[in-house]
Amino acid sequence: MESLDRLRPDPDTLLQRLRKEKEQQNKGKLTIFFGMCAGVDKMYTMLKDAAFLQYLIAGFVMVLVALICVPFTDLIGYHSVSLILLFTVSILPLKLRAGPVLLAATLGAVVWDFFFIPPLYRFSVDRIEDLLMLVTYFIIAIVTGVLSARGRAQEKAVRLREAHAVALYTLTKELSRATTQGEVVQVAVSSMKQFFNTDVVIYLGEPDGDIFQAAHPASSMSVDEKEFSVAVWVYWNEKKAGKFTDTLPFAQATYFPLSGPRYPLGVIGVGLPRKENLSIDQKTLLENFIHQIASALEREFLNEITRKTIVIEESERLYKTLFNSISHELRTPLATIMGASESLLHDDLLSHPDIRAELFNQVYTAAERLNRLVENLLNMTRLESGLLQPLRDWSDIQDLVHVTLKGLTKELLGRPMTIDISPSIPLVKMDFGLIEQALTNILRNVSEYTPHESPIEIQAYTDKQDCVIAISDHGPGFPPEVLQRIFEKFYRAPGTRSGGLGLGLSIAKGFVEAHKGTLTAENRPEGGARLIVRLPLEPEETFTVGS
Amino acid sequence: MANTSRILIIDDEVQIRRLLQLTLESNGYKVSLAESGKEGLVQAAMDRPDLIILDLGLPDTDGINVLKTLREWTAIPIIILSVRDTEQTIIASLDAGADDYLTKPFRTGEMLARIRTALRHRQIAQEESIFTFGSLTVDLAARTVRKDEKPIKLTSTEYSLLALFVRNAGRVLTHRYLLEQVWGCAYREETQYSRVYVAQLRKKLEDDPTNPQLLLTESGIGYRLAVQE
Repeated sequence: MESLDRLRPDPDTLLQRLRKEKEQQNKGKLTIFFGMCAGVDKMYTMLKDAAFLQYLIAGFVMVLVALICVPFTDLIGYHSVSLILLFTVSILPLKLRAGPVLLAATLGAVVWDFFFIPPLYRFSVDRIEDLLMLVTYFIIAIVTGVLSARGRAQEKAVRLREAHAVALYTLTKELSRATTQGEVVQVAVSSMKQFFNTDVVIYLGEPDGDIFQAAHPASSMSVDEKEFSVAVWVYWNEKKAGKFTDTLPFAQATYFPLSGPRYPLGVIGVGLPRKENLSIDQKTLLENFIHQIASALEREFLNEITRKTIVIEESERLYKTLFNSISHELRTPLATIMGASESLLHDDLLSHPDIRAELFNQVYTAAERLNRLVENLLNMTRLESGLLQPLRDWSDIQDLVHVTLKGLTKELLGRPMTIDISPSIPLVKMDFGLIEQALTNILRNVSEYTPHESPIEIQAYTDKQDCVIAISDHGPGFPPEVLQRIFEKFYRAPGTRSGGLGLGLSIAKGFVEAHKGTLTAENRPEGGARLIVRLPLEPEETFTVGS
Repeated sequence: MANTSRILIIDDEVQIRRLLQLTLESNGYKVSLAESGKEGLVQAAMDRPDLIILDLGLPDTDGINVLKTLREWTAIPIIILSVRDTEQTIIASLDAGADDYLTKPFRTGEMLARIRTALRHRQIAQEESIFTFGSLTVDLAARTVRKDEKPIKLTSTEYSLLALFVRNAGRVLTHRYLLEQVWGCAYREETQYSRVYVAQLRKKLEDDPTNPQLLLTESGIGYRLAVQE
């Protein structure tokens, strides 16, 4: 009996559960609504539905009170007994329904008349005032009883509404926190368990509108093929079906559609144990719950579509940029090479040695540009493949800077270079080639975006647990909107001249990050920009020169 | 030096073969060509060239295998051709006995310099004992080092390292090779030693240690003692 009662999602057990949970979460706040004696409550829970028991209790209580009064009748007078009985009748509605209270009132009148009003043990009344008192007692008892019972019923309804409101509020709050459909499903499953004590199975349609193939993994109920086909029916017909409905009533659970904007988003199956115990209020609450869950799913479904659209737009934009710039970057040097070499091959007019030399020079420059491009694309591919494994070995920063600058002799021609490498800087374990490439890309970038012959400063020092290489220029600095994006792939600052894919700095950043380091850019307060490479120095990875 | 040396080119790319052939022949070398590892091995055995240029990416077999097979019976200078970003392969082939390497795309001037160094190294190896590099003079017989006519004091390890560079002037030496030769096989992974001692040598020998002109770093591979031509 009790176990069945626990399973049933009726308002009072719901109240109790709510109270317990709320008391745990939010001590004391809800005790106003639920401030009842726990023992009485429990007994009441056991008995409240059995009408027969209620009547029995009503009769029992009245008889008991009368019996207790018998020895004292001489002391207090039989009129007082009517007051005690009246009092008893008036408190009974606290726990009993109107019917039993009426019984108690009637029984009280009969018992009083029979056992207390002289002549005793007869139903006749001798004195007119006794008769008046009996009638008055009877009317007051009935009025009090009925009014109290009605008040209690109203109070119960208020509490129920309160509980429903709290349940719905809790659900809505939880649902609003969910940021994916998966999270919505999890909230739905746990809320149904919490407020209806029922297991649910949820099917979600595929994002492209296809029907689901299996229950959502977060479902708390496992179902067989037959149940699945009921869910499919509900999905296509957008009507509830299953247990307690007219359609496919032999299913284990009741299935409700979760309706979205264009097609059903999914189906929720609720394993309600017994239908007859769901009051209209509870049905409304259940439907509200399902409606809320569907709304949340719809919201996340739309969010997902928006997110995907953004991703697709972004990748389309990237693809376009990539395609445009690669075709441009490849074709320009190719056109130069083909044009110049063709002239050299066929054009007899080009006999002048200066012109011929110039054409050869153009071919060579174009080939160098192509070579750089291929190198950058290959480096990017290495980074993107995720297979980049730095081969870390002891490296001398002085050596690193020197080798890098030597490779850029042509680009940095005529620029005053100030190199300040702290003598205390230890050997650092790094992939020499990768960091050299990173510095090369940074310096090439600096040389392209600052005036020719403007100075460049390179500083290297240790800062806490980092080896820092800072490259400062005296150019115009980065505009704020550019500063945020310079490390993005294929990003080129607006208004820059053609040449280059916008990969250099993002490769540099990737290579530095492969060493668990950072590459940052900033504008210097005194003008110009600074790019800072920070490589972490592990204590066991430093080796001081001279040690 | 009369350029009558014979050079064997083992490369599967016809354009590279053609480019190398034209460049080398116009510089007076005699050139023979092979387009696979197998053919290369046969030609090397038959023609006995003075130098071999070997591409590591061959269609029939790995270039390193060709190198190892050649090293089983001959000490002919071998220069490796490779693409970039394959430092590990380059180091492996140098450790397997290659004399030098070039990465594609390469400058022809650089290639010719490497060829000259490799050929000269073969001729001079044991005879001379006094070497001059700019203002630096090293006498291997007397174990003395002079810079601008002033004697330079070196520790014995520094001297061993410098002597190794001098005997292999112009050639790239891997860290592993330096460590094995100077410190011994047990130290072959301890690259911090070669880094530190090269830095010390630079301080004592270079005009400007921050901008070395003698002891050059080969990024990710090792060092090379520069030879003025």
